[in-house]
Amino acid sequence: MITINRLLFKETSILPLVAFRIIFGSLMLIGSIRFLSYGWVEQLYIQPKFYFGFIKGIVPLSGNWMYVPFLLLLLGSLGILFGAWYRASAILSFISFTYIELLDKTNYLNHYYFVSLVLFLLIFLPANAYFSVDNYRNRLQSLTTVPVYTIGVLKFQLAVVYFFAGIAKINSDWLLHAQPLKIWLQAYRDLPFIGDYFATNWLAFAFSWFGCVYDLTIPFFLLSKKTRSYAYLFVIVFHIVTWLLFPIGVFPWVMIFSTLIFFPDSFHRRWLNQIQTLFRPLNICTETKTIKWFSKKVVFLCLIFYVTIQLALPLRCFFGNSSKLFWHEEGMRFSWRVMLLHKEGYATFYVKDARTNREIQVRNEDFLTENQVDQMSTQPDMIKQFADYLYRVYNDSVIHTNQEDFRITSPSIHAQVYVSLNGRPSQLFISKTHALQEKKYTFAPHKWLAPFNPAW
Amino acid sequence: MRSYSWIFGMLLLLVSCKDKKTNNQEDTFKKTELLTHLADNYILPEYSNLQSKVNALIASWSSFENQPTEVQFDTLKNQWKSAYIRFQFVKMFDFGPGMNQNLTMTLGTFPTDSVTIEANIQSGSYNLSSISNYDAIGFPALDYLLFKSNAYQEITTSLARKKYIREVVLKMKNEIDQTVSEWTTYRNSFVDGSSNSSTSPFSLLVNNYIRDYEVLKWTKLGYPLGANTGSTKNPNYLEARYSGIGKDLLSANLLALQNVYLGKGSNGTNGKGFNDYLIALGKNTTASTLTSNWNLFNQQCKALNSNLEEALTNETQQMIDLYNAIHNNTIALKTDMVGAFGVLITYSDNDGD
Repeated sequence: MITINRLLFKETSILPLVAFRIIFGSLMLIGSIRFLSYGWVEQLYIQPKFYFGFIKGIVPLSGNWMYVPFLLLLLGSLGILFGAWYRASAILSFISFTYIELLDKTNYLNHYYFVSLVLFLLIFLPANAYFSVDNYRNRLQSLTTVPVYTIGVLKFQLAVVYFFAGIAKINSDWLLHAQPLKIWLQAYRDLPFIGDYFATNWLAFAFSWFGCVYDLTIPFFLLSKKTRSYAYLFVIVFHIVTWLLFPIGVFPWVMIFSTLIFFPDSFHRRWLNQIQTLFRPLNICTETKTIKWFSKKVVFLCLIFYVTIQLALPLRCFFGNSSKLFWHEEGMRFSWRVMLLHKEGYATFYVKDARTNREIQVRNEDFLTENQVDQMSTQPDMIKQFADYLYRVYNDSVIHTNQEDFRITSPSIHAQVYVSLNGRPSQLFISKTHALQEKKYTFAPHKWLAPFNPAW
Repeated sequence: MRSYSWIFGMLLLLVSCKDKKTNNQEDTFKKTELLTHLADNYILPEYSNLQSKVNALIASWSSFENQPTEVQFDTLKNQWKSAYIRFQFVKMFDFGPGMNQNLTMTLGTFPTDSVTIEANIQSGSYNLSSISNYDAIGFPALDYLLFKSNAYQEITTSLARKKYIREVVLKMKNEIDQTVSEWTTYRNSFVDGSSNSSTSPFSLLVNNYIRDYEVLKWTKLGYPLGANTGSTKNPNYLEARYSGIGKDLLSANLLALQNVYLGKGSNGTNGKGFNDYLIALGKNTTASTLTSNWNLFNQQCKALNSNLEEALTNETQQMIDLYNAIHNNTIALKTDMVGAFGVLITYSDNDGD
């Protein structure tokens, strides 16, 4: 117990945590402004007719009301950044961000999941206890030290992202075929001077192997004092290269700046002092209120619980049918499986009516956006969701034609889907024989998915 | 374990370096070559072909308007027909200058809405640029106006009708002239745009190519066959139903897609096309499947009755066969070809999961 006590509750400088608060708040602010300015709220959350929600009942607000959660997020980011009404801001940010992400699987990205988790953690961390508006408002005692776990849990979270991303890369597609990097890199064949290298196999292999070793080892190199500076250089180079090559938005910058949490207070003191001189008056603080800590026991149990979940979620695929992970995508999300798949699919849906013996071929674009069609066509749970939606649309509906109208009373939804995975020839993904509205989407293996042929 | 991995990695690198020599074509294929060839030998000449055809259409309209004769009317109709066919060769380029003018929509939206057209003519007040008039303008509107029963009589006796036709034709000319002139400057950025981001010209080209293919499948065959209405045929969805040139338009559209795929220029010059890129990527099976499918479609299309409306009634199965063949080919086109190119269709962030 003494060791646990020391490991988790030893007092350490608050500066890395304060630095993280400022960095993460700024990134959230930039991220949400970017999202709003690109018109994505309209495109992704207002225009679609149908949403591939994660949880039943969590649906978009109607029309322009969808801007509200984004504005709340913006407000919350400002609150985090300045440490103003900090806990309320963190809760507001966490709820609005997570709500937005739960609306449509089409837009799921691992780094959005990462943001949700960090926002969740920030709710409980005393990141506003120093150099914050809350101090200035005389509401909060200024602290110079915090228990070590408050910083450690953020380090843990970052290490989990890297390490499991590395574990996920240990597969034959990535290591033995350099896929999907081979496909993505060859697209740069036209770059002046270096384009020829991008079309070669060896560069794809070099990137794949380097990426795998990098992800697996970087958390440890960042933890060690001796190697930290060099490791951070690698962090910068690695993420800038990915930022240049792949359309992954702000994620590289989130990682580059968040990783600074691994640096000690001496590092952060320098740049925080620089900013502090700008806000000199803010520093006046009379102690009025102290932060109320949870008991060590509660903190300890919560940490154990959180860590267990974070370790178990990415590993869950190994309890099922891991060899088909990329094909069926069971256990794919929330597992830091980043940049591993290049899937291209073509899904045709059919509505069969038993009574009239009619078959209707569905034009996906009549119901979904281009983005949604693209994502849905390769992901079984979304295919099932769309099939259920089509059932609701067509059940007891009247089809008008110039010759006659007929009513569909007992529709059966079928899909014929072909998918090409990581450069393999396309193969059957779902056969037209299954009546999808009758299938249940559970954690058990889906018999309605065609078996995977790994041949190239 | 890690040290072993490194040794293994080194070995792999050696092996793959050796690979490189045998796989030389892969290293040397450039998308810029494909885009340059396509722009200079296909897109620009085809747009100016369309431009001169539409100019000829205008000229014959003017002569007819000044001095209406049956002979002049036939010339006019023939000019319309050859311009409409030419349009099939460029309608897939619905990006850049073509999209600025929204050419694909304004010139080719069908079935045309005869009720709106008549209402417009009747009232005399209309804005041809408004979205609600998209199905009352362009080639399909002229199909109705020039080929409906008693058309000659109606046009020659109605000033309002003449005015409407003149404005429709002038609008078309205006938009094509704009597109042609914009393409002369857009050409250079098009030729350079070879990255795989969703807004690069190569991605725009591929995505619009696939879209045109799907539009062909649905609008020229699927809707008339009733693919989405439980096989109840809808002859009024047929393209150019009044003139009955739907089959010419279908085969021209297929030919255009084939030419771009193979890299065949408008005057027959051969250059780099999607086919060559696929071969450079080692996707020979996909390349040969697609090449032979294009020929198959041509044959199937040729074998159909010259009037698609008659084919729809009497050769339903042959038409369904062609539709199914085109539909099944989408798998090779959309999953294998686009998958190999690594082109992204999404405009938002993507972390490949």
